[in-house]
Amino acid sequence: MAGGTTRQGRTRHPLTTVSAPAPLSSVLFAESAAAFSGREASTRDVVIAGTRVRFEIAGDGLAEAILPALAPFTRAPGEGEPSLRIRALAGGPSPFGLLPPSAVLANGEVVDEGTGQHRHRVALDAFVPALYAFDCETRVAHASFRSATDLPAYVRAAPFRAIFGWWAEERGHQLVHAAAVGLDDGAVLLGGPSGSGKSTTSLACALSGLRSAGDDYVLVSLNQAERGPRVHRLFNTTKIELPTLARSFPNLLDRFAFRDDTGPNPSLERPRGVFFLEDLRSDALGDDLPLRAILLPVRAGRLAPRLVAISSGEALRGLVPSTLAQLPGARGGAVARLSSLVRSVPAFRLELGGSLSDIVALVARTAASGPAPGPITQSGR
Amino acid sequence: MHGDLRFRPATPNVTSETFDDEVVVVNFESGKYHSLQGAAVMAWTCLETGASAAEIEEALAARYDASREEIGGAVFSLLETLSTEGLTRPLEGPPRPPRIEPSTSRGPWVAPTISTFSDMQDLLFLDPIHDVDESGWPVAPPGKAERATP
Repeated sequence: MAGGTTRQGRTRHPLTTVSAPAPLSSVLFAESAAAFSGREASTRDVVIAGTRVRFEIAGDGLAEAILPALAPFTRAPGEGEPSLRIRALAGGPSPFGLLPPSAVLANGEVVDEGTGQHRHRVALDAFVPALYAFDCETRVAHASFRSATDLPAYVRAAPFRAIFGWWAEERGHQLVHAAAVGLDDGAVLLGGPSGSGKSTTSLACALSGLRSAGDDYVLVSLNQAERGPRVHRLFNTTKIELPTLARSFPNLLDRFAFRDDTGPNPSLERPRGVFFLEDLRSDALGDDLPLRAILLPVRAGRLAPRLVAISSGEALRGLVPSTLAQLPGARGGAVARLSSLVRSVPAFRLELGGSLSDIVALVARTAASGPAPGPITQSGR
Repeated sequence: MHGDLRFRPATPNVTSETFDDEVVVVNFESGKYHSLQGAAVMAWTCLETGASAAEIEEALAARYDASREEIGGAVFSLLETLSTEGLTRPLEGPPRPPRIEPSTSRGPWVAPTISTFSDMQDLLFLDPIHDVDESGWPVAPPGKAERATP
């Protein structure tokens, strides 16, 4: 079995035998907390999945860089204890020096020695650079950034994703790499890898009157038996590749807020424009929507779009890769929750084709009243 | 692969979800995920209790209308692939009671298949630790940045 990640070498293996001193995650959490202590911070609350999340942000420019992705939902701090506190600091001391060369990481998450649940969870992002730490007992999280200047677009568009993933897990929810569109009486999840047409479909729907609960990441609640699975909004942003923007939404070419040049495959040049949805349509944002179906868009070159029923297993295979890749340390629990999701609603391959308005109409009809009976649903039926 | 040797899923690095017609198996160590279909679904269910190759063959023979030679060859090949992919390991300790319900009739043989997907492997976050500069923060890698997970 190959060795773990080192400060000098590279490895493609996400998890190796544990060799880090324990509890390294607790040491890193404590270090992050100490760095934040005493800092002057701006405080805002956001309601996410029906509960209040508090952001305490310190460091020059950090609030301005990060909060827009959570707007327009931010508000002054409310009464009572929030269900999650995220304390973010830019320009503080680096916790990276505490990492021993033998530190082991599972898709970015620090792995402590020993089996069983550990109180703290910590993930590293050397590119930003940033460190995220979460206390599973107190539900206090720390995010440490070297600087707020030149934060990568993927952080500005979807900040604190690792923290949201851990917090969701603690609450029995699941952060999913997917878009979600619909109205108050129903929504669909648009899942699948980057480049599948998910964001284009999602944006077209949001511009056409449907509401978006998210373009890249949404929170799905699975533990409310009488309500069924529901999708909750995290971020206000949507990203579209610039060539697609020019082709399908030319009137938006000069309206994106900032550019994202870090695509999923660094060998491909696929710059994207990042939009704040509220800038495109004032009522484009939805939240707490009942989920009616999972759609996995595929580019099919058809004359008209259609839905083809797929098995729960195929739906799971459509959601697992990119969702797990986005979440540090995500393992069996995430797979089990995604499995629960695909068992609870029907799933379809959305074979794209025809015009965007054809696609929007088919998605809107499915979100409103669920999928039509039969294995294949053509647009217009 | 000896018929009396017992095997089980290679947890915790391997997790699986079973549906009516498919088992999705995720290997967090390799970063690959697999789809088991046909008779492989029942075979995997047998493995979850720590079955031997002989016991898996017995279970499949009771469910499917096929010759023992065909079933035996298919089970051998499947177990070999599962082992090669790191999805199973030899069982240590006693097996658990079987969960297969006895079938009153046999259906047509559907050969076990295993499909392997490596796209997740390519997405998993790599090399997140770099050398640090004098400020203690990591030095960014040269050239185009890789997508970072957190």
